[in-house]
Amino acid sequence: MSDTLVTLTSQEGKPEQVPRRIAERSTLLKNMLEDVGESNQPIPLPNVSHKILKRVLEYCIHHKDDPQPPSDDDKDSFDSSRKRSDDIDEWDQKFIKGKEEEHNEELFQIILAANYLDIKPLLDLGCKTVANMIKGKSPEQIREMFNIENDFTPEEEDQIRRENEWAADA
Amino acid sequence: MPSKSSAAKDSAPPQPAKTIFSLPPDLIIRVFNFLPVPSLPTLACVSRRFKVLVYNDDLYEPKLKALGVEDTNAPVSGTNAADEANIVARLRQLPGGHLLPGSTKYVGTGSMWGEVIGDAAAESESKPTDTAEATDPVESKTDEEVAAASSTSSSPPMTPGEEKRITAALPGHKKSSITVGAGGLKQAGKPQAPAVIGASAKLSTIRSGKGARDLFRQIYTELLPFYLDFRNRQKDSKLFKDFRDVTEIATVLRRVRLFSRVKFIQNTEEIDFALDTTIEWFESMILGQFERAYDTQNIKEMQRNATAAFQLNGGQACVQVFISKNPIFFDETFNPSLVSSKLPSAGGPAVGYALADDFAKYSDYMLNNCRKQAHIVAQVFVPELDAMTLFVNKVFEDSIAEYLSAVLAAARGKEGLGIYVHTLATAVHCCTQFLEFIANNEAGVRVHVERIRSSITNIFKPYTEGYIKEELEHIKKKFDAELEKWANRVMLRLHFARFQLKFIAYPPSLKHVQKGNPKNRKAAAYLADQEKAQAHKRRVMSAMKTVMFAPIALTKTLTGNNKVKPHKQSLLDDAEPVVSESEKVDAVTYHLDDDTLNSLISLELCLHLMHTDKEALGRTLVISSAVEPGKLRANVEKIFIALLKAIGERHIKPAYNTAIDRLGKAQVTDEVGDRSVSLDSLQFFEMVHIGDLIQQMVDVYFNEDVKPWVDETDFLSDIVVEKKAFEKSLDDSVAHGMDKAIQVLISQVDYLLLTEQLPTDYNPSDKDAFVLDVKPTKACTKAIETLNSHTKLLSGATEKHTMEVFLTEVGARVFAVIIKNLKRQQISQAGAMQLICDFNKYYEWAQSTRVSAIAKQFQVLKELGKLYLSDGNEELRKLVHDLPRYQGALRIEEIYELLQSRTDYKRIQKFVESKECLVM
Repeated sequence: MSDTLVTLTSQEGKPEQVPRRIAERSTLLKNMLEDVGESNQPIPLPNVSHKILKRVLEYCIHHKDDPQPPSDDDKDSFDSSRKRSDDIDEWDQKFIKGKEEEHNEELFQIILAANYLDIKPLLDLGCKTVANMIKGKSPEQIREMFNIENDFTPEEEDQIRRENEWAADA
Repeated sequence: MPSKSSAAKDSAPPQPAKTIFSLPPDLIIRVFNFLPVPSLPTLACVSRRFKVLVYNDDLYEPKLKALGVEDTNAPVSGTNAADEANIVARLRQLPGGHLLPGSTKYVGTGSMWGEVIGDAAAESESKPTDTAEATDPVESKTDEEVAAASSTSSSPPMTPGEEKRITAALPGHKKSSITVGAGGLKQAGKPQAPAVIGASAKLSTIRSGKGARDLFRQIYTELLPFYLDFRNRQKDSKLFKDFRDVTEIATVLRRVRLFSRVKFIQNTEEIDFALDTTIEWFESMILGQFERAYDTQNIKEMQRNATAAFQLNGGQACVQVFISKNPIFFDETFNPSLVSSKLPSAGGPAVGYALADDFAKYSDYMLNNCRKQAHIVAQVFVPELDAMTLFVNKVFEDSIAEYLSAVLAAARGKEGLGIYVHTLATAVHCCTQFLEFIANNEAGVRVHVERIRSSITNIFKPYTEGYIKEELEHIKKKFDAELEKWANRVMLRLHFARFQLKFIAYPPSLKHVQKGNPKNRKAAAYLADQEKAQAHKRRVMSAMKTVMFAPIALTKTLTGNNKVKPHKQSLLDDAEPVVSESEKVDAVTYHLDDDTLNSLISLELCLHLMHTDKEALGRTLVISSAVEPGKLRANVEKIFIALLKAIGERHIKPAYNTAIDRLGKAQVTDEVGDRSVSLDSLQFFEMVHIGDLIQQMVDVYFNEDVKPWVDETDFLSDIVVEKKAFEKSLDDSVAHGMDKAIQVLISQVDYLLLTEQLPTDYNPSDKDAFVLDVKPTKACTKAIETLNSHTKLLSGATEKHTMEVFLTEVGARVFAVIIKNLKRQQISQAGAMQLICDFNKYYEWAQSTRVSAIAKQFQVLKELGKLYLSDGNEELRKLVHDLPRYQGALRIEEIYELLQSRTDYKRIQKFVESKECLVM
């Protein structure tokens, strides 16, 4: 049963066949497949581009033998606040880095896809990576990195700094 | 750099994903969640959108949860929806908010692009106020208020003065409902009690209606200084200067440790290490203080340290110290190794019961000790620790288990099996009661009953596993002993009677002994009278009920109808009657067999057997229900079946067999009326009565004591099958015996008619020819008397159906005997009157049986009489050939034969037998 192939159709309408147990890394697909039962109908994924789908599946294949993460939402958010952003394993690190020149764009798309497909470990991997990018940077550096416009006046910025002094000193 | 790469190789995605704002707010918050707290201010400074996200409560909920702050009151879904709407609204009000990808929907699904709603007017208008709003709640608080609030939320009040200040501040400040420990609220009524401090700071704190960020800020700013202080210091930390009370220190330490586990900030390895070391040191200090306090019995100090330990890390260590130092485990009052030597040295039945007694006393002693300890536990430990359960468990597992094994070893080794099972049952009972009493102790300390029960079960397991086998063995032995004892007594009685008779020079035949003893006759006299028989039965049954259902402590407490006992009651009150009851049983005689002539069957014996069984049942109930409730039903069945076998197969059946045997050899007697009933028949009839009584007794016992525990409707269960077999065997024996009894009765009647019926009865000589007043002949009267005296004996002894069968059989055979008698006689026409008179008498008897079949048959006799009265001519011929008259009871050939008894047979023969007549 887990050897049957599942067809996933990306945004562009391109089909992609994967073994069912790979597809079931995604909680969304897992639930869907359980509801539908045996069916050869391709599953459309209009929110995921083909390029990103291939990337996501690459991740799923590598992690096919991992234990299923607990589906409990509460526990998930609880855990994520406890987890450190710097405990990413080597393969994951290399995987998420991807091609340097389109790193950011792809990263965000992977996060969105992971969120949509409900693949918790990949979502966390993406979020941690973004967090690591932010960590230790100044506001100006962050703005630069994400191409964000500074819409504060210097006075406003100063006030915010004062407001948050309690959290700043460590 | 991400801006240029949006042109994908194949078809371009409908929306660019180049900036972080392509992620929905909840995902950005997720990203922020992975960042250390000190990074957050930087993020807030990046842009307005970032600021809104950093200020969003969703970012702080998981952090609060990690710190053990539960959001209990706010309805979860409601707030979330509101929060989401809130974020989106705020985001949209920001400059460029109209470009935001999303509506509320977006936030909810994270996958939809909503329509872009731009409201420039709202944007420009709300901009200044919005900022004000956002900052207001934070900034408006004065430092004082924040300090007050934080001290309430974090640690319970230290001094009454400080506490007062806080309570006063609370009502004035509307939005300042802050974290308050559940215990604190609950016990606010008695703030001076020291327990409040401990109870108020639970492991998870409950907050009420406050923004997660504000709350987090409060806790964070409160704990951070303490936490950071450990970077350089340990025992001299600021924490120990700010707080004096050990409980408070413990509480703060625990919270700081939680704080450290969550890793809000980076590079804290040193701090964490220092913190852990300090906590270890602090814990051992508390334990040391607790131990010293314990040694000096300083309850207050113990309580202080135990609560501190509880606050620090659950405080199990203190409970362990308390238990391990408790004098109850060093008490030498009851020494297991002395158990056997303490027994009274003299033999005799009381010795064994002393063991059970001793165990009960021991349990009582331990119970009282535990009660005393419960008072201490109530004062020292917070209820969450479940210290009493641990303590009682230890008492069972160590002390009681040891004592139990000593007592049981002594019971098994030095006494018999009976004592052993009794002691075991008492012990189980004592422990069950112990648990019940301690669970409802005066001090009000909660005890985890199930947990202790399971350890009791474990303690008893080695003993109870083989229990039912031993119990069965024991009752079998006891049954054997009872049966043997009874058999011996019967032998003795016979011996004695024989000796007596020899002495007065009577022939020593057993039959004569019984017959000649007038007392025996009188004794069984109640049988002759139905009313008396009923009265006798009632008397026996009531005696049986009194004996069987007299309050026996052991069984009564278990049969479900026990009253709720006052908890102060000691175990001894319950245990002692058990002991004495068992002793008493042996001494009791029921005098049920006093007025019986029966040496084959004994009510008294059966009652003894039942009593033995009931005792065993009591033990089984106690042990099984306490230790292996699953086997209760099977065990009860086994015990009851053992009784059925003992009574049915080993007592009643042999008795019936002997009686039936004797009946088979019985001879006719010359006696008339009641006396005509042969002793063997009499004995048998009485046996039927007694058998019936025994069955009723067994039934009562079953209904009262056994039925509640078994499933009577399960036709395949052993108990139902065995009970049926028991009843059937009894019925079969009765039926078989009846058959023999009928034989005896009929031979008696036959004998009577043969000897008493004079030739002149129906063929009177001329001078007696005209008798005006015709009376039944002596033979007839005697025969009927005999019949009556037999049937009378049975009435009420068996069920109606059996009785009917019996009577029908008797009727048929008597009929045959009468016909046979008739053939022997010569009947003249004058004597026919006499004959008809006799026949009428027989018919009367037949009617008196109230069995229609017999009456019908005897009707034929009356018709037959007419044959002898009629003149020898056509009329007679008509009568003879009118076969329906005889209802098939007599064939024509028989009638011919009977007619030969007529004195004038030669004369009438031609009328009667001519074939032609038949044709005509």
